[in-house]
Amino acid sequence: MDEKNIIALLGQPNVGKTTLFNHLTGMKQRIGNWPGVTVEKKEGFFKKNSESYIVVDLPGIYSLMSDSIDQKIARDYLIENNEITVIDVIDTPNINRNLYLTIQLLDLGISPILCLNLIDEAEKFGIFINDQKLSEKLGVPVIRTSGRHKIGIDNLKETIYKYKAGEPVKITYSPLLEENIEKIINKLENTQYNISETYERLPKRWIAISLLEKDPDVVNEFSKYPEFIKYVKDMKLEIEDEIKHDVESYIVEQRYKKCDEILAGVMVNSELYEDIDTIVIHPIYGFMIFAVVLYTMYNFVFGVGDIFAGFIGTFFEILGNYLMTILPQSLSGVIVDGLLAGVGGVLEFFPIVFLIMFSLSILEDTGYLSRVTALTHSIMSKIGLSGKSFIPLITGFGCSVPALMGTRFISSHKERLITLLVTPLVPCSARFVIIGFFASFFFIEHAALFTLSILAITFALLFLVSYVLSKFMKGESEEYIFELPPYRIPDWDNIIKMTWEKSKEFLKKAGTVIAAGSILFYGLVNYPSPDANYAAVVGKILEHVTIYMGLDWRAAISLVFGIFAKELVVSSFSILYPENISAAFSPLKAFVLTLVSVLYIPCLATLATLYLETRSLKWTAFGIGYNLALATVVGIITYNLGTLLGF
Amino acid sequence: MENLLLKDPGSYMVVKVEGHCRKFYELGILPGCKITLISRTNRGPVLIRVGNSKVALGRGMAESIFVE
Repeated sequence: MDEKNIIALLGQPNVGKTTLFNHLTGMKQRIGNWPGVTVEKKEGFFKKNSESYIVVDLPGIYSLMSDSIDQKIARDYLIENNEITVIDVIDTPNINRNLYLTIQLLDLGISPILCLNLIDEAEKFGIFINDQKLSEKLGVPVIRTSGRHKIGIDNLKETIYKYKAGEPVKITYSPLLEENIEKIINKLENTQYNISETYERLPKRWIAISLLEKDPDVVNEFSKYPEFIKYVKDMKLEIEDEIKHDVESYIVEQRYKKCDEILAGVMVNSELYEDIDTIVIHPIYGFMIFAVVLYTMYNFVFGVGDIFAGFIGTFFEILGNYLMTILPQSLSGVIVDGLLAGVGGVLEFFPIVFLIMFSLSILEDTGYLSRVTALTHSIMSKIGLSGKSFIPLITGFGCSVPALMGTRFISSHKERLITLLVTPLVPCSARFVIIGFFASFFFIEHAALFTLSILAITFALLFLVSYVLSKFMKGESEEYIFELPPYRIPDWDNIIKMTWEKSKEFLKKAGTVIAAGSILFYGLVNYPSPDANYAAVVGKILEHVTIYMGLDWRAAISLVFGIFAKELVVSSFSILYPENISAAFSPLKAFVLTLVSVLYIPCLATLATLYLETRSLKWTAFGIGYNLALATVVGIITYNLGTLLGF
Repeated sequence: MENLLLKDPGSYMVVKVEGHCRKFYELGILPGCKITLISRTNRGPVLIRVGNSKVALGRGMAESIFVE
């Protein structure tokens, strides 16, 4: 495909880029990863007048400096694909700050299509932009859009279709800065530097500015020419002598000054007032509101979820009975007691998983979740985490994999590492399947109490582990600074999409890993013969340890399977005890087993993500080791304590 | 000139920022700009408005913004 037909969406966080992306591409999307990192890469497709386009959703970034993973991904993409069409999505109420990124794009030699997004929100608050004048000043097309209200989408497609990128407007800074930029450009042009082809292609002016800004990547590119690096360094000292402060902030000020100049005569500004956050993040009222929100969410998820779970359970029961009558006996065992029991036992929990994802998406989309990070920061910082760790932790209730990926916006290395290590302790939806399963057999009367005590123990351990780690780990803690996006009415299209995106993984897993695991497990339990089978052999070795937790070989082998996917603990139990689980197991043992399955080695997908995010075998091994040790110790203590207390 | 943590809610002009400069700059907090302190409690984050966006700051961060 012609590179021009690749459209990259770029913008700061919270500008409504994803909603715009969804409207541009409809349902034609695919999700992958950026090469080498686990940051999600979203691509979509659309057609306009028989031309096909690929739309790439770049990570939301504040500036083009390459000092975080997201910024590096976005920038590298722009640098390496210099023929593509860039759409710069602007949060119109904050146009001043957003133009900062636009100016950087122009410096980089890119003339983007400018999207004044959230235009409806801006005008409601009395902020008006003369888009024609802005377009003339910047030399780029300017389109007014609102993803939420589907304003301007067709116009945007039309503009993309007609767009021919021209030479970008030159942004001129102060004479002092310009003079020095010019000197570096001269030096670059008159000396043979052996730099990579990519950098060779980039505007010299951008390289000069980036060197003055001490951009790590660009400085690194020239690190083999110490004489040149020194030249720039001396120049900076000279400028600093004149302006009496550092060059980096001087350039930032110059850029913001440019933004103001561009907007002069183009914009009617007004200030928004809405100060409900004084209460929402208040150390006392804020927590009261948070408690109410969590309580409502809990009731909604389990109240509605249980009704649908019941339907699914009944469906599988009827299906199983029916298959028993029509299948030959040699097959009915593996299909009904193996596959159907395993998959059905897990699928029953799909409604709950779906509703957890749904509620989290609403909290995120309305903007409440970012308030929670501000609210919880002071508590979290006492145990070595940051308020920003709260989002990964709460995402962990859905699935640990996206939760671990979500840690990347924590910029302190130490806090991010601790968050990565403790997040797998948060019971994910798969482990809720285990909790729910045992609750329904042993604690029907006290299901809520059972669930809450498992959660309480898990979180107490999580806090303890993170506190201990923070004492032993070197590194600085991060000060909190976080933009709170305005409250927005939920965009239901986006919420349904996000919910489906996340919960379909659960269905996929049920259809693949869980189905295969259940059949394999059924085989291991029944061959060579049901009385002397392979599962028992492995289980009995592990029993030497698990017996101290009151767990026999059956429980031990189901835990082994749980490493592949935690739901398999439930699937294998449904296969091991086709008749009556409650008779074979005591409530105390069920409690211990549930606790141990929540705490021990995270599933393989989580471990793989842990490795990709830490890029360290040492920390991945540590993650496995401490989880296993924790589960063993806690399991043994709980069982013995429980026995002593007469349970 | 005092740091933000010592101020009462109201609008101020930023005189200088210390430490985590890049983070501040990205959010548009730089010398010469106007910021509004929305709320400040005895513990927990400080809430400010810069342009039309709201930012929650840790107390240490608030201490490194000097205003008048």
